[in-house]
Amino acid sequence: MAAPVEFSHLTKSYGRLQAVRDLTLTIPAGAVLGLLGPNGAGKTTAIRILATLGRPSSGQVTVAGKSASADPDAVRRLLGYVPQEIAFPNWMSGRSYLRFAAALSGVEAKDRGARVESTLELVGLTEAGDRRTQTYSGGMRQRLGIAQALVHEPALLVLDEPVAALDPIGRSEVLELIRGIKGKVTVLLSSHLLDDVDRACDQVAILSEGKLLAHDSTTSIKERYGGPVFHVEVRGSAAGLAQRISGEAWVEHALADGGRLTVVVRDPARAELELPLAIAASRLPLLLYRRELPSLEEVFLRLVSSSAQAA
Amino acid sequence: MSSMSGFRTLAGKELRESVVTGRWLIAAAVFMLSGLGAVVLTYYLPDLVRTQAGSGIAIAMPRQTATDAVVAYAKDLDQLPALALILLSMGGIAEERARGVAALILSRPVSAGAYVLAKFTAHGLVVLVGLSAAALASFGYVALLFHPAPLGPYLLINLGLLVMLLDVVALTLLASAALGSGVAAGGVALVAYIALSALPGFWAPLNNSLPTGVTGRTSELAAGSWGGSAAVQPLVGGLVLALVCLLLAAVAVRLRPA
Repeated sequence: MAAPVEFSHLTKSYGRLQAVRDLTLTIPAGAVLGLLGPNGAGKTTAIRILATLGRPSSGQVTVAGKSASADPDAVRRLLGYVPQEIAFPNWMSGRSYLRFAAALSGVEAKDRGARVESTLELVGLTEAGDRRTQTYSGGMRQRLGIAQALVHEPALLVLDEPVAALDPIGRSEVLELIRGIKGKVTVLLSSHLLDDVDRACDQVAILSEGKLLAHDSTTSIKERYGGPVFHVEVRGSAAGLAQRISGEAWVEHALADGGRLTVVVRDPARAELELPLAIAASRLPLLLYRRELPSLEEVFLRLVSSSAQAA
Repeated sequence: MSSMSGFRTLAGKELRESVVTGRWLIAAAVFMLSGLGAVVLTYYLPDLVRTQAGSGIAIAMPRQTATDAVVAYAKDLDQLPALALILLSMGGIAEERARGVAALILSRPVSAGAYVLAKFTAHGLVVLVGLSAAALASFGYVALLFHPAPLGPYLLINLGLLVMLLDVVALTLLASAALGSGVAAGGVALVAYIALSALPGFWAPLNNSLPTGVTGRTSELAAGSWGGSAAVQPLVGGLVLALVCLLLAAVAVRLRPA
């Protein structure tokens, strides 16, 4: 059963450096939350405290009401963890490592074999299961990392950059896997690959310099922190059209690439009225007109750069 | 959760690792080489000295006895095997932590005490098996080349060696848990081992509480002029030292798991 996670005024300092500052964040049971932030934002520090591998300077993290620092063993029973740097004893096979991980997590001996086989199948390592882990590719090791985190059917899955070492097919498979367990397990996914977070997560939290900048559902965060984007395609060059509307108060910026025009707007209602008029006035044949929410990457860059400017 | 939860599973993994990585074989070879080498060298020492001295010089070399062979055996078992154990166990915790193996283990319902004790158990068994093999073989060789050594004192000497070598393992695991790299842990463990061996020479009362109280008196033990209940306190002291090192190592792992 999925477990809710609550970061409550979590702060972690290393001497004078505050890696995490007063982080308060709730992840409902069954949600898939993407934790975003530039390097040094405090993501891994917060995750390590949640995984009971670090202690907070103040505040706390709870999983299903159990404190990671006061009752780490209770949290460990609920947790499946995939660290950023993943390594296994070289001499073990993937299958024997999963058996070892299942035993450590208290999976009954009679259930262990079946659980190991179903997890190997889930991550596509059944055939390679008897090979030593030292012969595995980076992608296979990553998939074994995810398997060891799932073998005991945890209530919370914490993944720190789980797809960084994977090729596009491997990434897609892992994201598919995360989508497959949505609702059954709470997932916290830290990643630099914003498209992946966009595809797999239903909530997003953005950290910068240890502070939480935003947390909401993926759709709401795009609506709240980034105006809609209009994609226009005309026959001929859109450069003149872009230049004409760039100075308008409702336009944040307009970018032309051949016949394609991307317009990020400040005032969506006015844009809906003014942009079609501007296109008509340009007398260029219209091939495509589409209104979209901005990508997560655009929202992320906007929030992080505003935070840096404010600092 | 008990303070030893996960111990059986972890110890099983460590024991398999000892076998797969050939740690048993290396340790057994080093122990046998040291033990048998000492006995054989003692037997042939007068001939070696005569050969080295040349034909014009006459050296009066006392006849070597079983006692001399047992003393040499104890001295050699306290040196090369100890260095081998430091090399074999210095990365036990530091390298698992540096590679990320420890993070996967310690984020599960496993206690730091069980993690450290499992490693100690595996290394301790390597010591026990290596020392037993060397002790048996050397005992036979002493009997073959000289005459059988008295069994009681010989067992007590080996018990002293066992406790001393377990202390070496515990000190190395403590250094491995406290420091960031296996090489640094090996260096610190080597210094600690030298201190453990040398300090009682500067302050004799330490011999009452350290296994050097037994391993440093092998001549008297082998000759039957010392032993019995007097050896209990140094042996217990050595076991207490190992226990303290393991507790401190568990604290270090708990404070910095990965």
